[in-house]
Amino acid sequence: MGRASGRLLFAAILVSAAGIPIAARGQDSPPIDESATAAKEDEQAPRSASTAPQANPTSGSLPSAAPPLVPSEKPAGLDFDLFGPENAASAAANSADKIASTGVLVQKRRHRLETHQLLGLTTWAFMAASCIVGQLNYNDLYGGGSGRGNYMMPHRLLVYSTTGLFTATGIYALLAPQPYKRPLKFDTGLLHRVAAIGATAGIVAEVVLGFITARTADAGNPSGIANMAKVHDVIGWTTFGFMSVAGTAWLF
Amino acid sequence: MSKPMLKKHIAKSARLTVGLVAIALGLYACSFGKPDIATVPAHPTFEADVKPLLADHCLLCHGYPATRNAPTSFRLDVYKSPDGFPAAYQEANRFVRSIQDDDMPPAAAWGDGVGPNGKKMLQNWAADGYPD
Repeated sequence: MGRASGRLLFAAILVSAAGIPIAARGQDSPPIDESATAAKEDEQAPRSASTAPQANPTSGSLPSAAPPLVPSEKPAGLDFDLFGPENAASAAANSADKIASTGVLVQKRRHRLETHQLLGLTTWAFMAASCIVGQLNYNDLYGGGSGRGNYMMPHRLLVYSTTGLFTATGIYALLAPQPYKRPLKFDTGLLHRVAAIGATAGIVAEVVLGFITARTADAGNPSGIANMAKVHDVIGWTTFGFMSVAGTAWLF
Repeated sequence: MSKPMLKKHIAKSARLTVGLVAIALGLYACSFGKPDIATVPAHPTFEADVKPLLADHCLLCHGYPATRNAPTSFRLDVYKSPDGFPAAYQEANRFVRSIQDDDMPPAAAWGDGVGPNGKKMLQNWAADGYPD
């Protein structure tokens, strides 16, 4: 038994001299008294941060005879703060503020995009009605109909409403904050945006062309008015198609 | 929304509004009516002078049958209707006056009416007693 204890002690001394921290293998070993390690620090090569404060409890004598382990408040060699206490506190505060402000932005974005969706669906319904009534108007005036213009006023009221709704829908989309940066990639969001841009171009073209057509008709000028009305008709249905794609992309 | 982002959106919206207003003003300033006649005949007739003017400014709606919500109680595409239906001759006094006063065509209020030469020609036609 005495020989076994001697071998164990010898092995422990060798291991300690080789710089292999036994206690460090247990990651949560408490640091020991500085006095126990002071003699070693001069001899040992620089260690990693995790091993530096650890000492070999077996380097002195037998465990029963070892001095009591007194955890130090600040381990030797690690008495520094990477960022400084103030910086760390301010960084934490900034991080908390950022998270809070991002949450507010997310809530605003959600609210505005929900309104955008509601307005968008309403606009889509009005655009469908405008196209149908507009086609009836075109057939009446230029497609061999009575020419009485029974659909002129309903068509005008519908397109004024549609234009107003479309503008409001676009404003809600443009004013929605973007708390996160998204990489540009082809997905339903990008398809929705491309279709919305196409619909916007179509609406602007419809307003301009519709104004020119109506003004020309009000001037009593028959030159090219049927062709302008035809182009107006085609662009209207194309715009409705863009709106349908935008709505479908949002849905799926 | 943060202030810089709000300012960015407002600036974007302002540019868009200015652009749309510029387009609207540009369209408003454009003329979509037929150009004025070049010369004023001293003694115009309906078939040679007045009917082409009416075709450029009036017959889109006031032909036969009337279209685009125009009144159906008269027609301007003929001098006199064979069936006695009120035509250009019977309505001459009224339609010449409405053209002179820029009541017709509807876009005359926006500057797309009959030009000064056309109005002068209609005056001469009226002075001669609305000849055929």
